[in-house]
Parts: sequence; C-alpha cells; structure tokens
Amino acid sequence: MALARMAGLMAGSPIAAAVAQIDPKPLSEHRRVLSLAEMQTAFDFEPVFFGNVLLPVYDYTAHGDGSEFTLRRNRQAFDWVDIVPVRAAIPPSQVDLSSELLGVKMKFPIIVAPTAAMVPLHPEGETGMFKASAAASNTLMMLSVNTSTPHAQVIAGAPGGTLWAQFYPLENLTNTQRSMDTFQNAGCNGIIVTIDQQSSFYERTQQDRNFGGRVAPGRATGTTAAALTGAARYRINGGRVWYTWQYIDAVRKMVKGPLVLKGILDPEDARLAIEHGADAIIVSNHGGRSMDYGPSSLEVLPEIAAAVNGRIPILFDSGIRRGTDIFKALALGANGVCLGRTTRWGLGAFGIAGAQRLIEMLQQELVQVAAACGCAKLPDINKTTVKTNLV
Amino acid sequence: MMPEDKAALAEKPPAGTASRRQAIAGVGTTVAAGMVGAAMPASAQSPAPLRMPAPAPLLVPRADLVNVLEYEAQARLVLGPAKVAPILGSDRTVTDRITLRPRMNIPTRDLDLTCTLFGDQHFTPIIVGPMADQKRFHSEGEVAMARGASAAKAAMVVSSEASMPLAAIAQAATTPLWLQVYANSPKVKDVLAAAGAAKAVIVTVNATAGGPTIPASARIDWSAVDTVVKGTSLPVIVKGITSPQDAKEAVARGVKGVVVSNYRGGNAAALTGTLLLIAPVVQTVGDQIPVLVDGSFRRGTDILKALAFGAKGVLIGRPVMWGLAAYGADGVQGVVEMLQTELARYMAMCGRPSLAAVNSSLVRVHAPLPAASNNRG
Ligand SMILES: Cc1cc2nc3c(=O)[nH]c(=O)nc-3n(C[C@H](O)[C@H](O)[C@H](O)COP(=O)(O)O)c2cc1C
Repeated sequence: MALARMAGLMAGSPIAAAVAQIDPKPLSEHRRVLSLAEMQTAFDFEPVFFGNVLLPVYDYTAHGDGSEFTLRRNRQAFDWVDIVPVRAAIPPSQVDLSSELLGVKMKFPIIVAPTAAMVPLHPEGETGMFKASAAASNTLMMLSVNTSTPHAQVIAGAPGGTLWAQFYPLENLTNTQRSMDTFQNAGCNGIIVTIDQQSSFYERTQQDRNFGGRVAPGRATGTTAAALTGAARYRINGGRVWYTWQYIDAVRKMVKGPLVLKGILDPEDARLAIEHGADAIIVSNHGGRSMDYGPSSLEVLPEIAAAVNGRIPILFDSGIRRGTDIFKALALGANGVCLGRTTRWGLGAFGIAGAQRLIEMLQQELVQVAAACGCAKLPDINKTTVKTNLV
Repeated sequence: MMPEDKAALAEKPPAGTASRRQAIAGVGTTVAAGMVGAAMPASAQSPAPLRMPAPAPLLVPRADLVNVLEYEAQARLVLGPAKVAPILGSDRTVTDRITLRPRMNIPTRDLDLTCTLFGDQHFTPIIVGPMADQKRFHSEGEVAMARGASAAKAAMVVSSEASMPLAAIAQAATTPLWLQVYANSPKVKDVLAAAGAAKAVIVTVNATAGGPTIPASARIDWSAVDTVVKGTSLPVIVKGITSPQDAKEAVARGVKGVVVSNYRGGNAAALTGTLLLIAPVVQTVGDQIPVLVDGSFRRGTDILKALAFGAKGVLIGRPVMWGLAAYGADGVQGVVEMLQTELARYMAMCGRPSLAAVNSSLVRVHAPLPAASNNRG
C-alpha cells in the first residue's frame, strides 16, 4: 500500500517529468522498489534514491538553474554523437583503460565529482562515498568544500584511497590560505577551484519551499534601498561575482600539488587557465546547475580540446549516465570524466555498496563499449571512433 | 521515516494554503469550490443549488513566483479563460535555438545595466511595451501599470488605445513615458497634441488597432509615418519592422529608432519570437539609430540574447499584463524586476559587466532540435 501510494505520487508529480528525460522505464510503471541486485543501469538507482531521501534533498540533487534548459541539453547532446566502430570488436578482457592523471594511477578514466552535503543522502555520507570509490578500483574522489564530514575524517575512511579537495574562491586571501592548509594537511594533494555558479537560482527547487526547499536571496521586491550600487542594484548577490584570474595566480602559489580549474566552457578560458598555472581543467557546466541556456558541456568539448592541444589533461562532466556517454566524451578529447548525480543516487539508494556498484557499473559499461569498438587502450578512443552531429 | 510518511508529507499542503504546485496548476479554484460542495459526489449535494458568491481565486503569494512564466497561470486564475485569452502565450522555439557562451573570472560586482535612449538614462534596457485598453485586465488599467513600471524604474509606452486618460497615467509615472499610435489612426493628431510630457512617439506600422491581421507582405504606408515625424518635435520610433530594407527606409524618413516586431494586431499567441530578425536590422541601421525589439521575451536570458544581437532595448508585453491582472501594480513591478534581476544574473555569469560588453560573441544559433529521441535505454 505504501509503495503503491509512493509510486502514484511519483508518477503524478513534476519530478516525474524531470526524471522522464533520462529514464528508459517510466516511473509510473514501477510497482515495487528494486533491490541492489536488480540495478541494471545507472537510471535504475534514481527512483530508489528518490524513495529514500526527503523531497528537498531529492530536489537539491535533481535540479538545475533557471528553466533547466542546460540540464536537459546536457543529456540531449549525447544523442548528437554517434559511436562508429572502426575496428573489429575485441573481448572485454583485452581492454585496459588505465592511465595516470597528474600522478594518480587510474584503472579507469572515471572520477567521483565533488558534490555537496552527502550525509542527508545516507548516514555514511562523504566517508561512505570515499570508501565506495576506493573499493571501486581505487577511483579518485573529489570532495566538495561543502562536505558534511571534515576532510581528515573522510580521508581516514579509506586508507590508500586518493582524495582531492574542491573549493569555491574566497575573496579574502588569508581565509583562502587557511582553507588550503586544512585541505593539504588533511592529505588532499590535488585542489579543484570551481569558478562557475556565480549567481545561480534553482527555480524548481524553490517550488518546493513548502517542504523546506531553498529560498533565493534577493528575490523579494519593493525594499530597494537608495544607496545600492553595482550588482546589488539589480538584487543579485555579489558574493561570487568578483572572481579574477589574479586570484587564480594567488591560489596557484598556495597549492603544492595539482591545481584543477572546474567550470571551463570556452576555448579562450582554457588557454587562460593554462597561462595561469592550471594543471588540468574540468569542462563542466556544473551539471546544468550553473547557468540556464548555456551550452551542454559536450558540445564545447571539441573546440576546447583543440585549444588545449594536449598541453594539460582535460576532465569532463555534466550529464554522464552511462558508459557510452563516457566513451563519447573521451573520444571528443576528455582524458577523464567526473560523475556527479549518479554517485549520489548510488549512495542514497543503497549506501556504500550502492555507490560502489554504480561506479563499477559505469566502469564496466565503458569497457564493454570500448571492446565492441575494438579499443584496447585509452588512446584508441579518439575522434575516429565517433561521428558528431552537434547542432 | 517510512516512505508512506513521506508520501503523506508531500501530499498534504500546510493547513490553509493551496500547495504551490496545485496553485500554479490552477487547482486552487477547485479546492476553493470544494468548500461550497461543488466537488462533492452528486448524491451528497443538496438538490437546491447553493447561492454563494464564487470564492476568490486562490493566488500564489507573489513573492513565491520564481519566473515570469508563472505569472501567466495566476492571470488565468483571476481573469478566467475568456478574458485572459488575448494575453496568453509565448513562443519559446526561437530562443530555444540560441545558447549563451559564458566567460569566466571576469569580475561583475560593479555590474551596470544603465543605458541612454532618446536622451534619457534608463535603469535597464527593459521597457514596458504598449498594450491597448488595460482596464480589460485590471480595474486600474494603465495607471496601475505606470505605477508598477515606475516602481521598477522602467520606462513605459502608453497605447493610443489606453483606457485611462494620459494625464492620470503621467501622474502615476516617475519614469519616461513614450506614446504609441497606429499609423493611419484618426487619433494621430490628438495623440501628438497631448504628447507634452512624453519623451518619444512610437508609430506602429503594418497593423490595425485591434483589427484583423494584415498580411506580412503588406507595404508600410510611409506617408503616414511622415505625418507623425512632421507633426512632432519628439523622436519618432517605428514599431513593426522586420527587415533591413524597412529599417533603412525608416531612417531615410527621419525616424530616430525602430522596434523589430512582428505583431500586427490580432492574436499574439500565434507569433514566433523575433530574436533572429534583430541582427540583420542592426547591421543595416544600427550605427545610425537604436534598434529595439519585442515579441515573446519571457526570461532574462531571452533579453540578453537580444542585446547580444545588437538590440538597445527590449519591450515587454504580455508578461506585464499577467502581473497587472493578477497582482495590480505590484505584479507589474514584480515581473519587470524579475526580468531585470535575471538579465543582471546572466550578464554576471557570462562575464559581461556592462551592456557595452554584450556582443555577438555571447551567442550561438543552432539548428532546430530534432524531435526528442529516446536514446536513453
Ligand atoms: C547535488 C549536487 C551538489 C554539487 N555540489 C558541488 C560542489 O559543492 N562543488 C562543485 O564544484 N560542484 C558541485 N556539483 C557539481 C558536480 O561537481 C558536477 O559538476 C556535476 O554534478 C556533474 O554533472 P552530473 O550530475 O550530470 O554528473 C554538485 C552537483 C550536484 C548534483
């Protein structure tokens, strides 16, 4: 009875529309909650995740900026790239997709993206996610600065695993240095600076404020103080609209290990990132959470890869849900991909075992498509293995 | 918490309010009607019809609306299906073919959207467009519209078919007013005579006031434009331009601005967006006169795209009417401020600190999307 009610609720809600864009099996057809053993694709985790967490937590994970044009386009863009098997298929056992990324040995070119606040997903939280990623062939994990578990505690959860730290620029350089010290002293060698999402607004999450969703600052009208200047005149929060390349220079000096810039969508910005000392970039639109009516990450990847021209590694995220998506991103110039929402679905649905299974599922899917295309090694996955019809 | 507890939580709105989702979907009225028995099974209803006044529609509190399109449903609740019909609709097909290209690490805290149009400084390039007979949608009509536009620091265009006296509208306004008149309208003389306090005159071509739709191919009656230009010392703006040739002709006739617009009277809901008509006009006359635009601007991103194509201002039509109908002057203010904030937000996220930094490098035009495939399984 409870399950039937839940299925009915899910089918009738706008959430179903958001899910339908990616779900091969409409929620309305679900009659019971599947078990971990029954997960066949990453999509299968989402309805289980939905059932396990509070609605605001689900919404926070699912939604994106504005009308969610970018969120949808991220998925659509994978439809515009076809995989073309140019070589004869090989057995999956002959596929070896290992590589080294800035000193980190990777069995698969797959990374756990930094996503905030995981304890609301599952009591094991970030520590659980790190245990899962370490168990899944020592997958590199990027820990969000908005972690609900301290860095040192997370890193202690899986000795031998590799944890890098993501953070958002802090205008005050002393505070920045303090953060860097905390991350690096905890053992996070690589640092990811996220430079997008300067002024985002999740409309769809706001719609659930009756149930505890977020309220955007600065939306109230009618209280315009006379002395406002600059961005504040237009009721936007100035907290993240000051970012500069000089700031990146300052951070570069504080980071002993690899420095990664996350949120690059333009070839010129990729060049600037290299100029200002980035060791890698992440081509990302924050999973559609940064800016409405932006490009999908995938459609700008080829031009950015051309501009970078192999000088530094390119990581990629936004919209990856299956192995073929990863294959396409690698073929268009990425050296590795990051998984955001999918890893949250895994953890929220089945805890550590779920997150591990999710990561391994995508690793295996990637191996399978590589094998089907006769790609034995990472460099075999390249422009020749795809045909793009980006619109 | 068990799933069923969660389901119950999600289904039951806080006591005394429509859930946001219900209210936005227009279910609010049904909920209210239920209180007088309309939603009860027939067997449970008394045979004599209840004589109670229809309950007031249950509107979402204005501050809860998260985008301009949500105002449309609220207007529908207030006006009912027949009265709301003339102001319904939006075309998203053109804007959905255009994406923005953000640049990073460009500080925008000093964001500045101010611009100068026809001698006046404007807070942003967003202007309340001309729409006839606004009492159809709110008892205070154009006066409430002017109050709302002024509260949002936006200029307003007053239609020659306004339902309230210009003097009353002017008294309510603290921002520049422009007057609009249809070419060939018998009112041209009166409008120009009364133009005193206005800052510009817009003459709408290729259209009849509320009359039947004129085919797009119909020639513009330039002698009517000449009459307006000769009859006033105010800058004259021609609205209804869709081609560079017409824009060129307008400049030759002494016109000081054009509005790219495909509205010709009749049903605006059937029109497509005008974003892709802007650039050719700007290329032809943009260095001589400001090119403005209107037609289905619903989001700050839509406006930003128009500015990237070279427009100097964007007129807002139906959305401010939704705001007016549902919430009066407050709703107008809400719609305009929301668009201002969105425009500012996306300029900031694209790394464009001022309007001068907004140019065609910001946009990419794509082919229409193929019908949604299901390459998901
Ligand atoms: C719920 C959620 C929280 C996120 N929090 C952060 C964050 O704190 N820092 C960050 O750099 N990116 C954050 N991201 C963005 C992810 O790192 C990543 O860019 C994005 O999720 C990738 O797209 P995908 O979800 O389609 O895989 C978050 C994403 C989600 C879904």
